[in-house]
Amino acid sequence: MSSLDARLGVLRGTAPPIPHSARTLAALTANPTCDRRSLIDAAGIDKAALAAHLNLPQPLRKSQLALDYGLAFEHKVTAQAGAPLVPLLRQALALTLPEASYQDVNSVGSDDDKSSLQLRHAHTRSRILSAAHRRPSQHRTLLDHPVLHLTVAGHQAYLEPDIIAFHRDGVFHVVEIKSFPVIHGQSDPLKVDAALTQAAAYVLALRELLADDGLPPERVSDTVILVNPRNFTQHPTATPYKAYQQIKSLSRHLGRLRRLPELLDKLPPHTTLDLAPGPDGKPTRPRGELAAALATVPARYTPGCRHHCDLAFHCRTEARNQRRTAALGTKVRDDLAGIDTIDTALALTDGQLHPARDQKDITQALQQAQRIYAELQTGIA
Amino acid sequence: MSLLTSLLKMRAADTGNALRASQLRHLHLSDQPLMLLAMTRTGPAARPLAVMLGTDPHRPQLLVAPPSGSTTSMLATLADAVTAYIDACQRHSEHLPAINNKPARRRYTDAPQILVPNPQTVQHLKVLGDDLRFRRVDDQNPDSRAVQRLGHWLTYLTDRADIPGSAALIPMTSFLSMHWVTGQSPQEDEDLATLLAWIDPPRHAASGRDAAYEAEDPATHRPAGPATDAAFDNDHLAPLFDAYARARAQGQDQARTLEELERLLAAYLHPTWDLMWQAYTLLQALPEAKSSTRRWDHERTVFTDECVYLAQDGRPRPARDQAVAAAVRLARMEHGAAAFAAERAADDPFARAELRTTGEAFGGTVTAIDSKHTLRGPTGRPQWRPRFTVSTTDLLRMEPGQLLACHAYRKAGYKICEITPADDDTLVELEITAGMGHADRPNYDVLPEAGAFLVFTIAPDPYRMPEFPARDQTPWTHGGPPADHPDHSNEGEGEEEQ
Ligand code: SF4
Repeated sequence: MSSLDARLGVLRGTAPPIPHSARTLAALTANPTCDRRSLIDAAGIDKAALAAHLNLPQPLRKSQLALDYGLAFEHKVTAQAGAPLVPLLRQALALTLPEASYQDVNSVGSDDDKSSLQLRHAHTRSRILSAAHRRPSQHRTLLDHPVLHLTVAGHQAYLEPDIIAFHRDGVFHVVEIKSFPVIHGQSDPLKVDAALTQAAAYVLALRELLADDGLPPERVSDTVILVNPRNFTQHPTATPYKAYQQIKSLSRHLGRLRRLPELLDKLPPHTTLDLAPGPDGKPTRPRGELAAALATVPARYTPGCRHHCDLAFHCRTEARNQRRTAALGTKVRDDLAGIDTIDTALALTDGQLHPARDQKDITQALQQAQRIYAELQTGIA
Repeated sequence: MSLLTSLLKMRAADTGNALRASQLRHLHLSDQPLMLLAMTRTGPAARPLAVMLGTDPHRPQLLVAPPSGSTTSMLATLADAVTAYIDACQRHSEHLPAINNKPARRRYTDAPQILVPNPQTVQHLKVLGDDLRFRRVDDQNPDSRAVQRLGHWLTYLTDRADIPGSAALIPMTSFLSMHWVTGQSPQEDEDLATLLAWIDPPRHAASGRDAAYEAEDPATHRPAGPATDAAFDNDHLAPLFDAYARARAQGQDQARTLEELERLLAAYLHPTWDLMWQAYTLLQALPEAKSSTRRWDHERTVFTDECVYLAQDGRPRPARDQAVAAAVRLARMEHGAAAFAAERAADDPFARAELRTTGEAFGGTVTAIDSKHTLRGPTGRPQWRPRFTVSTTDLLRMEPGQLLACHAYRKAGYKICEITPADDDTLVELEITAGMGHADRPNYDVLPEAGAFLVFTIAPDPYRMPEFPARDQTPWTHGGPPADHPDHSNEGEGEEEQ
């Protein structure tokens, strides 16, 4: 065990680490400058459990109805050995793909229960490599339920893409099945971006696998295929998207995780977010103590946190108590770049504080805004 | 948002109370708006779960769709309710005499106004309209025609909602945020309950901030839709849906489950329903801006046109705009935004104050007037161009030659001649370029009085709708001639069971 692992282990405490998934990796790109989040995620700490113990609302709770619907759609697409997929992929990739061999990695080993991740990873690896090394014209493969590895902060994270498609030009494509609709050719751009960021994790993982075998990254396409319900039906449609931006940004953020030792150095020794579960599994860690431990890791709260982080309500309270401008939104924060708190901004506006040299311009603008507002209130303007 | 709003946000956060961001109401409010809350079923696109609507705060109508199977009958009831409301707007019309090159015509004295909680509901209604207006009309089934017509109206209304200043379909959170600044973030302002708590806290609350905090309590907070929250889905809806599916599979009566679902949704929607009317009352109390009447007149014109179109042609708008139609739409939206901004500045001192902080306006006192000033025109005849000087302490970000407008003299136009920075202020010499009449028939009204405080805003560009090629002359590179009929991508799929 590396010393980094040991240090992250201390931070995490007794609970086993939560494995990374494409979803958690994608969330990393949402607020990459937050050290608190980087450390907690790298240590595999269960943020939802922290939030629950702190009695916070859980903005990220998943709807069972949404999960059921997504699952039903995925089954529909991969039914009959992927038969509905082939014509869709043929169209999306403009390929002549008369037939494809479909392999479900889920069903390796025993037939009944799901095979272990390691086993599925081994199978995925051997199938992908054999497809990659065989003569290109021979094999067209759809790999269902593959399992990949990605190195995240020196750790192996298991990732489970929906489908990997391999075709005659020797190129692999990541195929993601998502249950949000494409209506008259258009879908929600935010959802597409989130899906592509997840797919980016698979692309990186697939490239890592091929690189180990000396194969170049171009063998995995930047173009990702999303399969979604079309219009107001459950009929699937496939759309190719360029995920270049998302791949670049995710790999940059993964690179940033190398700063972990630096971040850990800044913590007081023995800082831990351990929930200290009692014999019944219930956390016994005093809440105040946990909150104090959290406070030693600097956060960078924005109101957008509630869309991607379980701790959003905790960090919001903290930001509000510290009277941070960021709690009022990124617009206010950016307007007042260089002034972190509402108190400082208002003191500068009201002339109770002398501006530092780099605060002169913003102070002047604030004072002008204040003067105009005062004129408005007194009815001059 | 300007630095002024950022400053007010900080003040509001500091004091715990919301601040007015406008002295007037900039959108017309109908005496009888149709209040509408919509909930979708988590999962399938645009599948309704429930709609609560009505014009009477005490008697909302609740429509609930079954968890699975056809929603047509629920949608038909919704169509009847919405159409009845829209029809009522067509009861009376007025005569408009011919002007310029427009012939005389009639215009309805009213137009529909639908109030929904948030922009997400507008988006949901847009998608629902996209679905319904292409549903096939089946002569055996009278519901199908009503449903298609509902789709048409939803598309019309959601299109109007894209035009700034339109009051046909208004998301309440945007309406409120246009007039108040709270001490929470814009993301939090998207939640009707907390936004309203800031603006109009209940009497027992010490401040708007406390009220908002209380309104957030997960035990009592109900999202205003259209999405239901995960906790509600998991704890309440999923078990009922399961019970419904079981009863259906076993051929048992599903009526009890449906009744239970109705009770559940009524309780879920009611808090938001009441908030909507609370917001309505609040907004109604604001004095209406002058230009808002003009914009509502225009709304009635557009509505009348749509009724005529429906009666004469009535083909649904294509699923996606062709190049020309898309360009026309964009031009309309841009024009709408510019006109709305200019009219707000003319009407509302707050809007002008905001422009002063962004450098798009300045305010100052008239110090000297040269009422005799003349210029030699191109033909050699003297032209009367009175000049005057304004002293301002605003940070001036304009150049000589800049054309300006002034709220106090709406028909007049101004140009900056000279800018002279002085010790504590800046002197701006202005020339009146329009609205002063001729030297022989001067209009002295445009001359300001010395000592008056005036605000000058950058004059909006004169607007002309750009010319677009005729529909059949759209180059193929832009997608070719538009299909008049919708694409057939939905054939037979619309009513699939989900
Ligand atoms: S909620 Fe807190 S920990 Fe999570 S990303 Fe935001 S600031 Fe960081």
